[in-house]
Amino acid sequence: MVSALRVESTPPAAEVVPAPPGPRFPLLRAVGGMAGLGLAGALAGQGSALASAPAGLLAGAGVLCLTTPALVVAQQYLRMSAPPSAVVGAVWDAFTRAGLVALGAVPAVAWIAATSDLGPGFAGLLFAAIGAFATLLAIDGLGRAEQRAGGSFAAGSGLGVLWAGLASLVGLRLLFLFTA
Amino acid sequence: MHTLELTAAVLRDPDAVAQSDDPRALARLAPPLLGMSLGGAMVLGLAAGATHGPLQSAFAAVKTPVLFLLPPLLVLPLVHGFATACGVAVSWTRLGIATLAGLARSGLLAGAVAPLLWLPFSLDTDYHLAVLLFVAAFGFSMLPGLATIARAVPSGGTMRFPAVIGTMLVLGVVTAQAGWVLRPFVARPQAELTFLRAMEADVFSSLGATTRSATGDYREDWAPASSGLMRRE
Repeated sequence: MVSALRVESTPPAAEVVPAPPGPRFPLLRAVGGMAGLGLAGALAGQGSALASAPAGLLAGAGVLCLTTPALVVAQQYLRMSAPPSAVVGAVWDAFTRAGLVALGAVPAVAWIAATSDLGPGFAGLLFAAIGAFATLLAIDGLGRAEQRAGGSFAAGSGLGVLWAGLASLVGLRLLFLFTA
Repeated sequence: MHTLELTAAVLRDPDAVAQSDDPRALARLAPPLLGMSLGGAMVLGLAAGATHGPLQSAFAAVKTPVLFLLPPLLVLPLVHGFATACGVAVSWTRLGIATLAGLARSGLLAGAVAPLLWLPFSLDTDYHLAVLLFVAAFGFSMLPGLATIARAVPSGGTMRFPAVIGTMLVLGVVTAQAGWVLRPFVARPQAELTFLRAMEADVFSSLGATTRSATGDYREDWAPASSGLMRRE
């Protein structure tokens, strides 16, 4: 019987699956995820919680707008190998992937917010964790972009670490600005 | 496929059941797998409520399946989101079958440990010990099911380790809060029988109060207030 089941099912999941084609409407999903996470956190909140719901989305967009140009300028000034489009692509890719994760977290945050007063705090923690995850993805993507262009992974990811420090500080400042 | 054969497959080799991308398989397997999950969880609930009589058993038998199903369903979109963000392809069909197979496995294990739980519970067990035993039985039956779900997501991709840790943490918080909202499963001996308590405070404030009491610190009296969507100003 177990063998019959095996015939019906696909092979076990030990295989390494190649990267899937990206989801459709990545920007829409990313923006929706960030906005949805903030709204879910403020689900049971009153005025102040609802007012700060879009803070995560605004901070993320602000970080992209304020720090990506600095990253491209520094990367070109240091005469690194990756073209500017690949650098912007790595950061953009990290942002859209983080938005997908945020979208997936919406039901869990909505449940916590609906049944307790932990919603805004839980959503804030998840924003921070997803931001850290996106930063790691961006650092990895920058290293790979540099490697693909003939440079070294360490140089690309090293610049990524410096950029991540700046982006984190700017992001925290923006979060404070939008929630204070 | 006979239900008994499927039961054996779920227990012996759940991955063979779980790892399919065929929507027809999902439609065919969903009812029996759901039945195993709900049935096993109900039996565990019946045993858990035995500390407080048949009515509490009936209440717990209705609520325990919800405690089994709700947290994984709430966290499933996060599993999918993380997999996609890490660059791994996993279909919703595959996740759905894996979730049902994992929960069925958990349900069967829960049904199996229920008699072990009922035996001490029917003999006037201490309340705190009963709660610990129920949590242990719940954890024992849930973890293998969650492992089945985790194995259904193919390996590879980037940043998988933080993604798995993050998912587990969120699942833990959601499960703990679900248990808190659906309480009591094991009722206090002096407590009045109730299906659900009022939605008040959260599981972490309760754990804090319990920890303070356990360490002999009674200076701060815990006064839970209504919270979430049920908050009263």
